[in-house]
Amino acid sequence: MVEVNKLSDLMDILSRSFSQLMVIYAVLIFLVTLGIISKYTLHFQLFALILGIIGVIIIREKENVEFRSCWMILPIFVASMIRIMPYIDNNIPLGYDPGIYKYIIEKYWEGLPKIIPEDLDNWIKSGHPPGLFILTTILHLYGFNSFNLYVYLFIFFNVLIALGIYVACKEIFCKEVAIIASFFFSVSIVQFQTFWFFYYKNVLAIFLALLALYLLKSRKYIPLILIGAVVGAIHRPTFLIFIIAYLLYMIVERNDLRQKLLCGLTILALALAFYVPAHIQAILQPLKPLIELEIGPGTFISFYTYQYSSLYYLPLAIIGMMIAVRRGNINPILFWALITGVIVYFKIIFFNRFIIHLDVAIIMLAGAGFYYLLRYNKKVGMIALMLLASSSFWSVYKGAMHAKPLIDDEELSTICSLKNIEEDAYVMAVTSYYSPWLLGYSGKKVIAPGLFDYNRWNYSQWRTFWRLNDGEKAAEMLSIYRKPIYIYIGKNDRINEEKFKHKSFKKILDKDGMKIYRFGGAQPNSS
Amino acid sequence: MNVVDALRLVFGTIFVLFLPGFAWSYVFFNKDEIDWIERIALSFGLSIALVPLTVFWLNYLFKVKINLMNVTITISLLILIPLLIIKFNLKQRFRELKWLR
Repeated sequence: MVEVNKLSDLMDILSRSFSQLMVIYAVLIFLVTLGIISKYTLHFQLFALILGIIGVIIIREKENVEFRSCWMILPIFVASMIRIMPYIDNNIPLGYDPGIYKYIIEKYWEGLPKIIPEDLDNWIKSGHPPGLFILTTILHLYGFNSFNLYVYLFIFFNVLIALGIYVACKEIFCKEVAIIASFFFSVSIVQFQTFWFFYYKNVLAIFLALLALYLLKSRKYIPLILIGAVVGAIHRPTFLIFIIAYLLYMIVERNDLRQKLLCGLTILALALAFYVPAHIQAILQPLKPLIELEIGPGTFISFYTYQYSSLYYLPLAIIGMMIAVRRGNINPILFWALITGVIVYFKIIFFNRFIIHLDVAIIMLAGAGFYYLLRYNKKVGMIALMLLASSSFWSVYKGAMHAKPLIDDEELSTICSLKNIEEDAYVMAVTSYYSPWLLGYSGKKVIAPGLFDYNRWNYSQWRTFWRLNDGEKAAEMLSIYRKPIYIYIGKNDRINEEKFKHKSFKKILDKDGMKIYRFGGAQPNSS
Repeated sequence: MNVVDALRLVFGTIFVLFLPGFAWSYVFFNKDEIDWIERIALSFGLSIALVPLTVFWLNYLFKVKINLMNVTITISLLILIPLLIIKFNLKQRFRELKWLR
């Protein structure tokens, strides 16, 4: 009897401590967001972990919480607004990749009436599956130009993820979890970063993968086959996560085992079929670096940065995940979180890019965590929800306000003017910073360090070229291309330009930090 | 962007990215089985899956040329077929394909 009382006292202390700590945590995060205290003041990750663990022990649902479906308008509105903001007074797409997408999208148009062009560059065949570009080609027939496709449509696909989160959460948990999770998606800094980085295939594939997991959970196998296959045709890393989550879920949840197995095999076969006409090397080529462990981290925020970006929902995600496990709600999202968590934490392959997928799973589990907290103690739950959601909103709003493209109007128009140079001339980017822009907007074959099909130098040759003083030697190196080369040096490029004083080079442009040198062939009459 | 271009984009988005999936969603899910948000999400998702899959296979296997006319006919059929399935009450038979039993 005494022991029971002691346990009950302990639970009472834990319960009160949890409520107080949760409010303190939410207030501190709010103050960090306002810049009043530093995010390094405390080990917030540890704080989040402790809150999560105590939460799992003491949270028992008592009260009833219900949201009406119309609340979904809020995340849709916020997600749209945050993503439209950077384009209010700007026509240049954000991120590093728009030039690459513009080039591929237009290459597919040129291939019509074939849906997959025969003369695709090798780097497109190996790195860019056809799914997205088949869709953009179809939309082009209905009047979409490349700007519509990579600005409006990209914003639209981003917002669709909120709907994907809604359907998956509603099926796995309930409507209230779905609405909370969708809202946290709309204010997630990591998801806004994904938008800023212009990860087009990633975004569309995540939306479809969430729908596929929803269909798997609701055992609708025919639509699951269709959507699952297209995930494979759009983005291989997302497909990898989806297939592993599918496999693990199939092993744990053995209902309809035969159907799930057949369905999985059909998805694989249909996805593979997309690669057969031109992209077969896209399947074979990644195996080599995978075996040799050469795949890098991928360009995105690091796990260290992510820990701070996810503080708005991390403790609730721990609560959501643990309570789901405790209740025996073993679902595909848990596996999704587990797989991406392992890849990111142990830095297995492409680990920084999988933070995007991990964040989606964390947001969904946090939605569940907030819901359980609201049902346990409505007052504390509402305070935490309001403070953490508004903190995250403020952070992402500031991010959207200051989001700028990597190049300005002047540079873009200079790059576009390269369309007017000789037909057979190459354009050279001296660093990777401007390579995608030159590829998409110059209309010429682009030589760039480590990118595309026309580069014939290895890294050490590029390093020699960057540091070289001797113009004679630079001319000798460039002569292997046997055609005129226009070397573009942008405002952000830092390169030793001494070599370009040599008679083999002619300065075509020197304006506001932008320079163009011409090398080789007969000199043009005018610049 | 002028009004005609804007209308064309809106029509293109609805016709390519929404209507085929919307029609098929009624084959796979009964009217009261899912709420309106799920219906909208599925409509976009199914359209994004169905349209490229169909166009790809038609072009790759049957060498159908990809132009506005052929794609419009294809998408129209993708909208019409589920309507016929619903009209002739074949939904249940369609959902329970034998190989998936």
